[in-house]
Amino acid sequence: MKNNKLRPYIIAGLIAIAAYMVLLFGSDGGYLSNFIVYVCLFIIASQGWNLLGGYVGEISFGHAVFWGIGAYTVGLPIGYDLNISPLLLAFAGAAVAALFAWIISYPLLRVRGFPFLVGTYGLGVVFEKVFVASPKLFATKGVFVANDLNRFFLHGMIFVLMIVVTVGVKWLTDKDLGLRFKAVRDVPEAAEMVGVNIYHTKTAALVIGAFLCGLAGGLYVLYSGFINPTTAFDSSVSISILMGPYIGGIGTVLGTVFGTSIVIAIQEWARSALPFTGGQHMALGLLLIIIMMVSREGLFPGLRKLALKLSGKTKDKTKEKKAA
Amino acid sequence: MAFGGMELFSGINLSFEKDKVYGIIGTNGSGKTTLFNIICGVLTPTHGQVFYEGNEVTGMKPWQLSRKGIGRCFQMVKPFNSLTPYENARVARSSAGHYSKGEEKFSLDEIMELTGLKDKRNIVTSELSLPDKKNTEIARALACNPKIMLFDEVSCGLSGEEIYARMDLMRKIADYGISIIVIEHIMMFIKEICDEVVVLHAGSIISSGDPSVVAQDPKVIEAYLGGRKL
Ligand SMILES: Nc1ncnc2c1ncn2[C@@H]1O[C@H](COP(=O)(O)OP(=O)(O)OP(=O)(O)O)[C@@H](O)[C@H]1O
Ligand SMILES: [Mg+2]
Repeated sequence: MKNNKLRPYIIAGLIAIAAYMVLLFGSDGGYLSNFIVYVCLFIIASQGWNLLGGYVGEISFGHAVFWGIGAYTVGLPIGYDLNISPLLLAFAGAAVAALFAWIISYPLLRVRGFPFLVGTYGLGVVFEKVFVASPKLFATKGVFVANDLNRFFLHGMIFVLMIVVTVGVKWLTDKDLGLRFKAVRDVPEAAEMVGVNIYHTKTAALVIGAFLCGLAGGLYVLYSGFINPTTAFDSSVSISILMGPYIGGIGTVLGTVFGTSIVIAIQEWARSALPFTGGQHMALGLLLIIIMMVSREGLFPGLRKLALKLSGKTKDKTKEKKAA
Repeated sequence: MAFGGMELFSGINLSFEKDKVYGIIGTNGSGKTTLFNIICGVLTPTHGQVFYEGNEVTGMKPWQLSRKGIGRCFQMVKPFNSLTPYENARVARSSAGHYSKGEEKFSLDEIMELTGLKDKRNIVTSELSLPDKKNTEIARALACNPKIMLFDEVSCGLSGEEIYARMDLMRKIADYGISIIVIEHIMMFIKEICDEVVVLHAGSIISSGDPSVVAQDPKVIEAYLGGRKL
Protein backbone atom coordinates (compact mmCIF):
# COMPACT_ATOMS: atom_id res chain seq x y z
CA MET A 1 0.00 0.00 0.00
CA LYS A 2 2.81 2.35 0.93
CA ASN A 3 4.63 1.58 -2.30
CA ASN A 4 1.53 2.38 -4.30
CA LYS A 5 1.50 5.85 -2.83
CA LEU A 6 5.10 6.42 -3.81
CA ARG A 7 4.93 4.83 -7.25
CA PRO A 8 3.48 7.83 -9.13
CA TYR A 9 6.28 9.97 -7.70
CA ILE A 10 8.94 7.51 -8.81
CA ILE A 11 7.45 7.19 -12.29
CA ALA A 12 7.09 10.97 -12.66
CA GLY A 13 10.66 11.36 -11.45
CA LEU A 14 12.01 8.89 -13.99
CA ILE A 15 10.09 10.58 -16.79
CA ALA A 16 11.44 13.95 -15.69
CA ILE A 17 14.99 12.60 -15.67
CA ALA A 18 14.57 11.13 -19.15
CA ALA A 19 13.11 14.37 -20.48
CA TYR A 20 15.91 16.34 -18.91
CA MET A 21 18.57 14.11 -20.43
CA VAL A 22 17.09 14.67 -23.87
CA LEU A 23 17.09 18.42 -23.27
CA LEU A 24 20.61 18.40 -21.89
CA PHE A 25 22.21 16.48 -24.72
CA GLY A 26 20.09 18.17 -27.35
CA SER A 27 20.95 21.71 -26.26
CA ASP A 28 24.61 21.49 -25.21
CA GLY A 29 23.88 22.98 -21.79
CA GLY A 30 22.71 26.44 -22.74
CA TYR A 31 20.93 29.09 -20.72
CA LEU A 32 17.94 26.89 -19.94
CA SER A 33 19.89 24.01 -18.47
CA ASN A 34 21.96 26.48 -16.49
CA PHE A 35 18.73 27.87 -15.07
CA ILE A 36 17.43 24.38 -14.34
CA VAL A 37 20.54 23.57 -12.30
CA TYR A 38 19.91 26.54 -10.01
CA VAL A 39 16.27 25.57 -9.67
CA CYS A 40 17.29 22.02 -8.75
CA LEU A 41 19.80 23.17 -6.15
CA PHE A 42 17.22 25.35 -4.45
CA ILE A 43 14.62 22.59 -4.62
CA ILE A 44 17.02 20.28 -2.75
CA ALA A 45 17.55 22.95 -0.08
CA SER A 46 13.84 23.83 0.06
CA GLN A 47 12.85 20.23 0.60
CA GLY A 48 15.27 20.26 3.51
CA TRP A 49 13.77 23.45 4.93
CA ASN A 50 10.29 22.03 4.40
CA LEU A 51 10.95 19.13 6.78
CA LEU A 52 11.14 21.46 9.75
CA GLY A 53 9.18 24.43 8.39
CA GLY A 54 6.41 22.57 6.60
CA TYR A 55 6.06 19.19 8.24
CA VAL A 56 6.95 20.04 11.83
CA GLY A 57 5.69 23.61 11.53
CA GLU A 58 8.72 25.37 13.01
CA ILE A 59 9.61 28.23 10.68
CA SER A 60 13.34 28.86 10.26
CA PHE A 61 14.74 32.02 8.75
CA GLY A 62 18.31 30.83 8.71
CA HIS A 63 18.69 27.68 6.65
CA ALA A 64 21.26 29.56 4.58
CA VAL A 65 23.65 28.74 7.42
CA PHE A 66 23.56 25.07 6.46
CA TRP A 67 23.77 25.93 2.78
CA GLY A 68 26.78 28.14 3.51
CA ILE A 69 28.50 25.52 5.66
CA GLY A 70 28.13 23.03 2.82
CA ALA A 71 29.45 25.62 0.39
CA TYR A 72 32.51 26.51 2.43
CA THR A 73 33.29 22.88 3.25
CA VAL A 74 33.78 22.54 -0.49
CA GLY A 75 35.32 25.97 -1.02
CA LEU A 76 37.92 26.19 1.75
CA PRO A 77 39.92 23.00 1.01
CA ILE A 78 39.94 23.84 -2.69
CA GLY A 79 40.89 27.43 -1.86
CA TYR A 80 43.84 26.09 0.13
CA ASP A 81 44.81 23.86 -2.80
CA LEU A 82 44.20 20.63 -0.95
CA ASN A 83 43.85 17.73 -3.31
CA ILE A 84 40.51 16.21 -2.32
CA SER A 85 37.82 14.92 -4.65
CA PRO A 86 35.29 17.77 -5.10
CA LEU A 87 32.33 15.41 -5.04
CA LEU A 88 33.54 13.88 -1.81
CA LEU A 89 33.76 17.42 -0.42
CA ALA A 90 30.16 18.13 -1.43
CA PHE A 91 28.90 15.16 0.58
CA ALA A 92 31.27 16.00 3.43
CA GLY A 93 29.72 19.48 3.39
CA ALA A 94 26.27 17.97 3.83
CA ALA A 95 27.56 15.90 6.75
CA VAL A 96 29.24 18.90 8.40
CA ALA A 97 26.05 20.94 8.03
CA ALA A 98 24.06 18.11 9.62
CA LEU A 99 26.55 17.82 12.46
CA PHE A 100 26.41 21.55 13.07
CA ALA A 101 22.60 21.41 13.07
CA TRP A 102 22.71 18.66 15.65
CA ILE A 103 24.96 20.72 17.93
CA ILE A 104 23.02 23.95 17.49
CA SER A 105 19.68 22.17 18.00
CA TYR A 106 20.43 21.99 21.70
CA PRO A 107 19.94 25.69 22.42
CA LEU A 108 17.94 26.54 19.31
CA LEU A 109 15.10 24.02 19.59
CA ARG A 110 14.46 24.87 23.24
CA VAL A 111 12.47 27.80 21.92
CA ARG A 112 9.72 27.79 19.35
CA GLY A 113 7.67 30.15 17.24
CA PHE A 114 8.90 33.70 16.91
CA PRO A 115 12.00 33.38 19.15
CA PHE A 116 13.09 30.40 17.07
CA LEU A 117 12.64 32.37 13.89
CA VAL A 118 14.70 35.26 15.23
CA GLY A 119 17.34 32.87 16.56
CA THR A 120 17.83 31.22 13.20
CA TYR A 121 17.99 34.59 11.50
CA GLY A 122 20.61 35.76 13.98
CA LEU A 123 22.66 32.66 13.33
CA GLY A 124 22.87 33.56 9.65
CA VAL A 125 23.96 37.11 10.47
CA VAL A 126 26.69 35.85 12.83
CA PHE A 127 28.06 33.46 10.23
CA GLU A 128 28.14 36.10 7.54
CA LYS A 129 29.93 38.59 9.82
CA VAL A 130 32.49 36.02 10.93
CA PHE A 131 33.32 35.04 7.37
CA VAL A 132 33.46 38.65 6.21
CA ALA A 133 35.89 39.51 9.00
CA SER A 134 38.26 36.54 8.62
CA PRO A 135 41.04 36.83 6.04
CA LYS A 136 41.86 33.17 6.68
CA LEU A 137 38.37 32.35 5.44
CA PHE A 138 39.05 34.53 2.36
CA ALA A 139 36.82 37.28 3.82
CA THR A 140 34.79 39.22 1.25
CA LYS A 141 37.09 38.19 -1.57
CA GLY A 142 35.53 34.76 -1.53
CA VAL A 143 36.97 31.61 -3.04
CA PHE A 144 37.25 30.71 -6.69
CA VAL A 145 36.60 27.01 -6.87
CA ALA A 146 38.12 25.63 -10.03
CA ASN A 147 37.37 22.00 -10.61
CA ASP A 148 37.60 19.74 -13.61
CA LEU A 149 34.23 18.08 -13.19
CA ASN A 150 32.47 17.51 -16.47
CA ARG A 151 29.65 20.06 -16.91
CA PHE A 152 27.27 17.53 -18.39
CA PHE A 153 27.96 15.19 -15.54
CA LEU A 154 27.26 17.94 -12.98
CA HIS A 155 24.04 18.98 -14.73
CA GLY A 156 22.81 15.41 -14.84
CA MET A 157 23.84 14.56 -11.32
CA ILE A 158 22.21 17.62 -9.78
CA PHE A 159 18.98 16.93 -11.60
CA VAL A 160 18.96 13.29 -10.56
CA LEU A 161 19.74 14.26 -6.96
CA MET A 162 16.83 16.71 -7.00
CA ILE A 163 14.49 13.90 -8.04
CA VAL A 164 15.99 11.48 -5.51
CA VAL A 165 15.65 14.04 -2.71
CA THR A 166 12.06 14.89 -3.65
CA VAL A 167 10.97 11.25 -3.80
CA GLY A 168 13.01 10.54 -0.68
CA VAL A 169 11.33 13.30 1.32
CA LYS A 170 7.94 12.07 0.14
CA TRP A 171 8.93 8.58 1.24
CA LEU A 172 10.16 9.83 4.62
CA THR A 173 7.00 11.78 5.36
CA ASP A 174 4.91 8.64 5.04
CA LYS A 175 7.22 6.71 7.35
CA ASP A 176 6.78 6.65 11.12
CA LEU A 177 9.24 9.52 11.58
CA GLY A 178 7.45 11.66 9.01
CA LEU A 179 4.08 10.95 10.61
CA ARG A 180 5.57 12.08 13.90
CA PHE A 181 6.64 15.34 12.24
CA LYS A 182 3.04 16.01 11.23
CA ALA A 183 1.69 14.89 14.60
CA VAL A 184 3.91 17.41 16.38
CA ARG A 185 2.74 20.12 14.01
CA ASP A 186 -0.96 19.22 14.37
CA VAL A 187 -1.23 18.89 18.17
CA PRO A 188 2.05 18.95 20.10
CA GLU A 189 0.42 18.16 23.46
CA ALA A 190 -1.36 15.14 22.02
CA ALA A 191 1.84 13.97 20.35
CA GLU A 192 3.55 14.03 23.74
CA MET A 193 0.65 12.04 25.15
CA VAL A 194 1.38 9.17 22.77
CA GLY A 195 5.07 9.03 23.59
CA VAL A 196 6.52 11.41 21.02
CA ASN A 197 9.53 13.34 22.28
CA ILE A 198 8.93 16.67 20.58
CA TYR A 199 12.50 17.89 20.97
CA HIS A 200 13.99 14.76 19.39
CA THR A 201 11.47 14.86 16.59
CA LYS A 202 12.29 18.46 15.76
CA THR A 203 16.00 17.70 15.97
CA ALA A 204 15.58 14.94 13.40
CA ALA A 205 13.80 17.32 11.04
CA LEU A 206 16.45 20.00 11.54
CA VAL A 207 19.41 17.65 11.04
CA ILE A 208 18.04 15.90 7.93
CA GLY A 209 17.03 19.28 6.51
CA ALA A 210 20.49 20.70 7.24
CA PHE A 211 22.06 17.76 5.43
CA LEU A 212 20.03 18.57 2.31
CA CYS A 213 20.78 22.31 2.52
CA GLY A 214 24.47 21.56 3.01
CA LEU A 215 24.48 19.25 0.02
CA ALA A 216 22.80 21.88 -2.14
CA GLY A 217 25.25 24.55 -0.97
CA GLY A 218 28.27 22.39 -1.74
CA LEU A 219 27.01 21.50 -5.20
CA TYR A 220 26.21 25.15 -5.80
CA VAL A 221 29.87 26.02 -5.28
CA LEU A 222 31.04 23.23 -7.55
CA TYR A 223 28.67 24.46 -10.22
CA SER A 224 29.07 28.22 -9.94
CA GLY A 225 32.82 28.02 -9.22
CA PHE A 226 32.70 30.82 -6.65
CA ILE A 227 31.60 31.40 -3.07
CA ASN A 228 31.67 34.43 -0.78
CA PRO A 229 29.89 35.24 2.48
CA THR A 230 26.94 36.84 0.68
CA THR A 231 26.15 33.95 -1.63
CA ALA A 232 26.64 31.57 1.28
CA PHE A 233 24.99 33.10 4.33
CA ASP A 234 22.99 36.15 3.31
CA SER A 235 19.36 36.23 4.40
CA SER A 236 18.39 36.48 0.74
CA VAL A 237 19.62 32.88 0.41
CA SER A 238 17.41 31.88 3.33
CA ILE A 239 14.52 33.67 1.67
CA SER A 240 15.09 31.87 -1.61
CA ILE A 241 15.07 28.59 0.30
CA LEU A 242 11.89 29.19 2.27
CA MET A 243 9.92 31.13 -0.33
CA GLY A 244 9.41 28.14 -2.62
CA PRO A 245 7.51 26.02 -0.09
CA TYR A 246 5.51 29.08 0.98
CA ILE A 247 4.39 29.86 -2.53
CA GLY A 248 3.98 26.29 -3.70
CA GLY A 249 2.37 24.91 -0.57
CA ILE A 250 4.08 24.45 2.74
CA GLY A 251 4.42 20.83 3.84
CA THR A 252 4.01 19.35 0.35
CA VAL A 253 6.88 18.02 -1.76
CA LEU A 254 5.33 18.86 -5.12
CA GLY A 255 4.38 22.33 -3.95
CA THR A 256 8.02 22.84 -3.05
CA VAL A 257 9.11 21.77 -6.53
CA PHE A 258 6.67 24.13 -8.25
CA GLY A 259 7.09 26.96 -5.80
CA THR A 260 10.86 26.94 -5.94
CA SER A 261 10.82 26.83 -9.74
CA ILE A 262 8.60 29.90 -9.76
CA VAL A 263 10.74 31.71 -7.19
CA ILE A 264 13.99 31.16 -9.07
CA ALA A 265 12.31 32.08 -12.36
CA ILE A 266 11.02 35.33 -10.91
CA GLN A 267 14.40 36.17 -9.42
CA GLU A 268 15.97 35.53 -12.83
CA TRP A 269 13.35 37.66 -14.54
CA ALA A 270 13.60 40.48 -11.99
CA ARG A 271 17.37 40.59 -12.41
CA SER A 272 16.91 42.01 -15.89
CA ALA A 273 13.43 43.54 -15.69
CA LEU A 274 13.81 45.34 -12.34
CA PRO A 275 17.50 46.24 -12.33
CA PHE A 276 17.49 48.27 -9.10
CA THR A 277 18.45 47.07 -5.60
CA GLY A 278 15.62 45.16 -3.97
CA GLY A 279 13.87 44.59 -7.28
CA GLN A 280 13.97 40.82 -6.88
CA HIS A 281 12.65 40.97 -3.35
CA MET A 282 9.89 43.29 -4.40
CA ALA A 283 8.78 40.92 -7.13
CA LEU A 284 8.85 37.96 -4.76
CA GLY A 285 7.02 39.85 -2.04
CA LEU A 286 4.30 40.86 -4.45
CA LEU A 287 3.93 37.29 -5.66
CA LEU A 288 3.69 36.03 -2.08
CA ILE A 289 0.98 38.57 -1.25
CA ILE A 290 -1.02 37.63 -4.33
CA ILE A 291 -0.77 33.92 -3.61
CA MET A 292 -1.71 34.37 0.03
CA MET A 293 -4.76 36.34 -1.06
CA VAL A 294 -5.85 33.66 -3.51
CA SER A 295 -4.94 30.56 -1.53
CA ARG A 296 -3.53 30.80 1.95
CA GLU A 297 -2.00 27.38 1.91
CA GLY A 298 -0.05 28.04 -1.28
CA LEU A 299 -0.42 27.26 -4.92
CA PHE A 300 -0.35 23.49 -4.89
CA PRO A 301 -2.91 22.78 -2.12
CA GLY A 302 -5.06 25.55 -3.59
CA LEU A 303 -5.07 23.91 -7.00
CA ARG A 304 -5.70 20.50 -5.46
CA LYS A 305 -8.65 21.88 -3.54
CA LEU A 306 -9.98 23.49 -6.68
CA ALA A 307 -9.67 20.19 -8.53
CA LEU A 308 -11.41 18.36 -5.69
CA LYS A 309 -14.15 20.95 -5.64
CA LEU A 310 -14.70 20.65 -9.37
CA SER A 311 -14.71 16.86 -9.31
CA GLY A 312 -16.87 16.93 -6.15
CA LYS A 313 -19.38 19.14 -7.91
CA THR A 314 -19.62 16.79 -10.84
CA LYS A 315 -20.00 13.88 -8.43
CA ASP A 316 -22.82 15.64 -6.61
CA LYS A 317 -24.49 16.30 -9.90
CA THR A 318 -24.36 12.66 -10.88
CA LYS A 319 -25.81 11.78 -7.49
CA GLU A 320 -28.63 14.22 -8.02
CA LYS A 321 -29.28 12.76 -11.40
CA LYS A 322 -29.43 9.30 -9.94
CA ALA A 323 -31.83 10.48 -7.28
CA ALA A 324 -34.01 12.08 -9.92
CA MET B 1 -2.22 21.76 42.92
CA ALA B 2 -2.30 25.53 42.87
CA PHE B 3 -3.25 27.90 40.05
CA GLY B 4 -2.51 31.43 41.16
CA GLY B 5 -4.67 31.93 44.23
CA MET B 6 -6.72 28.79 43.68
CA GLU B 7 -5.96 25.57 45.49
CA LEU B 8 -7.10 22.23 44.18
CA PHE B 9 -6.64 18.85 45.82
CA SER B 10 -4.88 19.99 48.96
CA GLY B 11 -4.31 17.12 51.36
CA ILE B 12 -6.08 14.47 49.33
CA ASN B 13 -5.02 10.90 48.81
CA LEU B 14 -6.37 8.98 45.88
CA SER B 15 -5.40 5.57 44.58
CA PHE B 16 -6.55 3.50 41.64
CA GLU B 17 -6.15 -0.26 41.54
CA LYS B 18 -5.29 -2.37 38.57
CA ASP B 19 -7.96 -4.09 36.45
CA LYS B 20 -10.78 -1.89 37.63
CA VAL B 21 -12.98 0.67 35.99
CA TYR B 22 -13.12 3.94 37.89
CA GLY B 23 -15.47 6.79 37.30
CA ILE B 24 -14.91 10.42 38.21
CA ILE B 25 -17.77 12.84 38.36
CA GLY B 26 -17.96 16.36 39.59
CA THR B 27 -19.38 19.77 38.85
CA ASN B 28 -17.82 22.00 36.21
CA GLY B 29 -14.44 23.29 37.26
CA SER B 30 -14.18 20.81 40.13
CA GLY B 31 -10.77 19.66 38.91
CA LYS B 32 -11.48 16.48 36.96
CA THR B 33 -9.35 17.36 33.97
CA THR B 34 -6.69 18.78 36.28
CA LEU B 35 -6.50 15.40 38.01
CA PHE B 36 -5.88 13.75 34.63
CA ASN B 37 -3.27 16.35 33.78
CA ILE B 38 -1.45 15.48 37.01
CA ILE B 39 -1.62 11.73 36.34
CA CYS B 40 -0.33 12.21 32.78
CA GLY B 41 2.49 14.55 33.67
CA VAL B 42 1.05 17.57 31.85
CA LEU B 43 1.02 19.35 35.21
CA THR B 44 3.48 18.77 38.03
CA PRO B 45 1.71 19.08 41.37
CA THR B 46 2.89 21.97 43.51
CA HIS B 47 2.82 19.63 46.51
CA GLY B 48 2.57 15.88 46.85
CA GLN B 49 3.61 12.91 44.82
CA VAL B 50 2.31 10.68 42.07
CA PHE B 51 3.00 6.95 42.08
CA TYR B 52 2.53 4.53 39.22
CA GLU B 53 3.08 0.79 39.54
CA GLY B 54 4.74 1.38 42.87
CA ASN B 55 7.30 3.90 41.56
CA GLU B 56 7.27 7.62 42.03
CA VAL B 57 6.61 9.39 38.73
CA THR B 58 6.12 12.95 39.98
CA GLY B 59 7.56 15.44 37.49
CA MET B 60 7.89 12.95 34.65
CA LYS B 61 6.95 14.23 31.23
CA PRO B 62 3.84 13.04 29.36
CA TRP B 63 5.90 11.29 26.71
CA GLN B 64 7.75 9.32 29.38
CA LEU B 65 4.55 8.32 31.17
CA SER B 66 2.79 7.28 27.98
CA ARG B 67 5.73 5.00 27.24
CA LYS B 68 5.11 3.39 30.63
CA GLY B 69 1.54 2.63 29.68
CA ILE B 70 -0.70 5.59 30.45
CA GLY B 71 -3.07 6.34 27.57
CA ARG B 72 -5.36 9.33 27.42
CA CYS B 73 -8.24 10.82 25.45
CA PHE B 74 -8.80 14.56 25.66
CA GLN B 75 -11.97 16.37 26.66
CA MET B 76 -11.67 18.60 23.61
CA VAL B 77 -10.87 16.19 20.79
CA LYS B 78 -7.33 16.53 19.58
CA PRO B 79 -6.68 13.99 16.83
CA PHE B 80 -3.82 14.60 14.41
CA ASN B 81 -6.03 16.23 11.84
CA SER B 82 -3.81 15.98 8.80
CA LEU B 83 -3.34 12.23 9.29
CA THR B 84 -5.75 9.38 8.72
CA PRO B 85 -7.10 7.41 11.71
CA TYR B 86 -4.75 4.59 10.83
CA GLU B 87 -1.78 6.95 10.73
CA ASN B 88 -2.90 8.46 14.03
CA ALA B 89 -2.61 5.00 15.52
CA ARG B 90 0.71 4.39 13.75
CA VAL B 91 2.25 7.44 15.41
CA ALA B 92 1.27 6.08 18.81
CA ARG B 93 2.37 2.53 18.04
CA SER B 94 5.77 3.64 16.80
CA SER B 95 6.30 6.01 19.74
CA ALA B 96 4.82 4.99 23.09
CA GLY B 97 3.89 1.53 21.81
CA HIS B 98 7.47 0.91 20.78
CA TYR B 99 8.45 0.64 24.45
CA SER B 100 6.20 -2.35 25.08
CA LYS B 101 6.98 -4.29 21.93
CA GLY B 102 5.79 -7.87 22.05
CA GLU B 103 3.13 -7.08 24.64
CA GLU B 104 0.63 -5.57 22.23
CA LYS B 105 -2.92 -6.46 23.13
CA PHE B 106 -4.22 -5.48 19.70
CA SER B 107 -2.76 -5.04 16.26
CA LEU B 108 -3.50 -1.75 14.51
CA ASP B 109 -6.05 -3.52 12.32
CA GLU B 110 -7.81 -4.87 15.37
CA ILE B 111 -7.86 -1.38 16.87
CA MET B 112 -9.46 0.02 13.71
CA GLU B 113 -12.06 -2.75 13.89
CA LEU B 114 -12.70 -2.21 17.60
CA THR B 115 -13.17 1.54 17.30
CA GLY B 116 -15.40 1.20 14.24
CA LEU B 117 -12.95 3.01 11.97
CA LYS B 118 -12.25 0.13 9.64
CA ASP B 119 -14.00 1.71 6.66
CA LYS B 120 -12.67 5.18 7.39
CA ARG B 121 -9.12 4.29 8.25
CA ASN B 122 -7.72 6.01 5.16
CA ILE B 123 -9.76 9.22 5.28
CA VAL B 124 -7.99 12.31 6.59
CA THR B 125 -9.21 12.85 10.15
CA SER B 126 -10.14 16.50 9.66
CA GLU B 127 -12.91 15.34 7.35
CA LEU B 128 -14.43 12.89 9.84
CA SER B 129 -17.45 13.51 12.06
CA LEU B 130 -17.03 14.38 15.75
CA PRO B 131 -17.79 10.83 16.98
CA ASP B 132 -15.22 9.44 14.56
CA LYS B 133 -12.67 11.99 15.69
CA LYS B 134 -13.28 10.77 19.23
CA ASN B 135 -12.92 7.19 17.99
CA THR B 136 -9.65 8.18 16.37
CA GLU B 137 -8.43 9.45 19.72
CA ILE B 138 -9.42 6.21 21.41
CA ALA B 139 -7.68 4.24 18.66
CA ARG B 140 -4.58 6.37 19.09
CA ALA B 141 -4.55 5.86 22.85
CA LEU B 142 -5.05 2.11 22.44
CA ALA B 143 -2.14 1.94 20.02
CA CYS B 144 0.16 3.08 22.86
CA ASN B 145 -0.37 -0.36 24.48
CA PRO B 146 -1.72 1.30 27.61
CA LYS B 147 -2.06 -0.49 30.91
CA ILE B 148 -4.43 2.22 31.99
CA MET B 149 -6.67 4.45 29.87
CA LEU B 150 -8.00 7.84 30.88
CA PHE B 151 -11.17 9.02 29.16
CA ASP B 152 -12.18 12.64 29.62
CA GLU B 153 -15.89 13.03 28.82
CA VAL B 154 -15.71 11.01 25.65
CA SER B 155 -19.50 10.70 25.54
CA CYS B 156 -19.98 14.46 25.59
CA GLY B 157 -21.68 15.64 22.41
CA LEU B 158 -22.71 12.15 21.32
CA SER B 159 -26.19 10.75 20.68
CA GLY B 160 -27.73 8.06 22.89
CA GLU B 161 -26.88 5.27 20.53
CA GLU B 162 -23.30 6.42 20.18
CA ILE B 163 -23.00 6.56 23.96
CA TYR B 164 -24.10 2.93 24.22
CA ALA B 165 -21.53 2.00 21.59
CA ARG B 166 -18.92 3.85 23.62
CA MET B 167 -19.90 1.95 26.78
CA ASP B 168 -19.57 -1.35 24.92
CA LEU B 169 -16.16 -0.34 23.70
CA MET B 170 -15.01 0.52 27.20
CA ARG B 171 -16.21 -2.79 28.55
CA LYS B 172 -14.30 -4.56 25.81
CA ILE B 173 -11.16 -2.60 26.63
CA ALA B 174 -11.59 -3.48 30.31
CA ASP B 175 -12.05 -7.15 29.38
CA TYR B 176 -8.61 -7.08 27.82
CA GLY B 177 -7.16 -6.26 31.21
CA ILE B 178 -6.69 -2.53 30.69
CA SER B 179 -7.60 -0.42 33.72
CA ILE B 180 -9.85 2.51 33.00
CA ILE B 181 -10.61 5.87 34.58
CA VAL B 182 -13.51 7.75 33.01
CA ILE B 183 -14.65 11.28 33.60
CA GLU B 184 -18.34 11.48 32.86
CA HIS B 185 -21.26 13.74 33.58
CA ILE B 186 -23.86 11.06 33.00
CA MET B 187 -24.51 9.08 36.19
CA MET B 188 -26.14 6.29 34.18
CA PHE B 189 -22.91 5.82 32.27
CA ILE B 190 -20.91 5.60 35.49
CA LYS B 191 -23.37 3.20 37.10
CA GLU B 192 -23.28 0.95 34.05
CA ILE B 193 -19.58 0.48 33.63
CA CYS B 194 -17.71 1.57 36.74
CA ASP B 195 -16.65 -0.56 39.68
CA GLU B 196 -15.95 2.50 41.77
CA VAL B 197 -16.63 6.18 41.52
CA VAL B 198 -14.96 9.30 42.92
CA VAL B 199 -16.95 12.49 43.30
CA LEU B 200 -15.00 15.75 43.11
CA HIS B 201 -16.28 19.10 44.19
CA ALA B 202 -14.27 22.34 44.19
CA GLY B 203 -10.98 20.52 44.20
CA SER B 204 -11.68 17.97 46.90
CA ILE B 205 -13.16 14.50 47.11
CA ILE B 206 -16.58 14.53 48.68
CA SER B 207 -17.44 10.90 48.21
CA SER B 208 -16.16 7.68 46.72
CA GLY B 209 -16.97 4.00 46.50
CA ASP B 210 -19.61 1.85 44.87
CA PRO B 211 -21.55 3.88 42.29
CA SER B 212 -25.04 3.04 43.54
CA VAL B 213 -24.06 3.84 47.12
CA VAL B 214 -22.36 7.11 46.16
CA ALA B 215 -25.41 8.22 44.20
CA GLN B 216 -27.39 8.14 47.46
CA ASP B 217 -24.73 9.99 49.46
CA PRO B 218 -26.32 13.14 50.93
CA LYS B 219 -23.14 15.15 50.34
CA VAL B 220 -23.23 14.28 46.66
CA ILE B 221 -26.88 15.16 46.36
CA GLU B 222 -26.20 18.42 48.19
CA ALA B 223 -23.30 19.31 45.89
CA TYR B 224 -25.35 18.65 42.81
CA LEU B 225 -28.67 20.05 43.90
CA GLY B 226 -27.21 22.87 45.96
CA GLY B 227 -24.55 23.58 43.38
CA ARG B 228 -24.93 23.21 39.68
CA LYS B 229 -27.07 20.53 38.21
CA LEU B 230 -25.67 17.26 36.97
N1 LIG C 1 -3.63 25.69 33.58
C1 LIG C 1 -4.50 26.28 34.40
N2 LIG C 1 -4.26 27.51 34.89
C2 LIG C 1 -5.11 28.13 35.72
N3 LIG C 1 -6.27 27.59 36.12
C3 LIG C 1 -6.60 26.38 35.67
C4 LIG C 1 -5.73 25.66 34.78
N4 LIG C 1 -6.31 24.47 34.50
C5 LIG C 1 -7.46 24.45 35.16
N5 LIG C 1 -7.65 25.57 35.88
C6 LIG C 1 -8.77 25.86 36.76
O1 LIG C 1 -8.88 24.78 37.65
C7 LIG C 1 -10.24 24.47 37.88
C8 LIG C 1 -10.49 23.02 37.56
O2 LIG C 1 -10.39 22.85 36.16
P1 LIG C 1 -10.66 21.49 35.44
O3 LIG C 1 -10.44 21.72 34.00
O4 LIG C 1 -9.85 20.44 36.08
O5 LIG C 1 -12.20 21.25 35.72
P2 LIG C 1 -13.13 20.06 35.22
O6 LIG C 1 -13.61 19.39 36.45
O7 LIG C 1 -12.45 19.24 34.21
O8 LIG C 1 -14.32 20.87 34.58
P3 LIG C 1 -15.22 20.56 33.29
O9 LIG C 1 -16.37 19.76 33.76
O10 LIG C 1 -15.66 21.91 32.85
O11 LIG C 1 -14.36 19.87 32.29
C9 LIG C 1 -11.07 25.40 37.02
O12 LIG C 1 -11.54 26.44 37.83
C10 LIG C 1 -10.09 25.93 36.01
O13 LIG C 1 -10.41 27.24 35.63
MG1 LIG D 1 -12.67 18.86 32.23
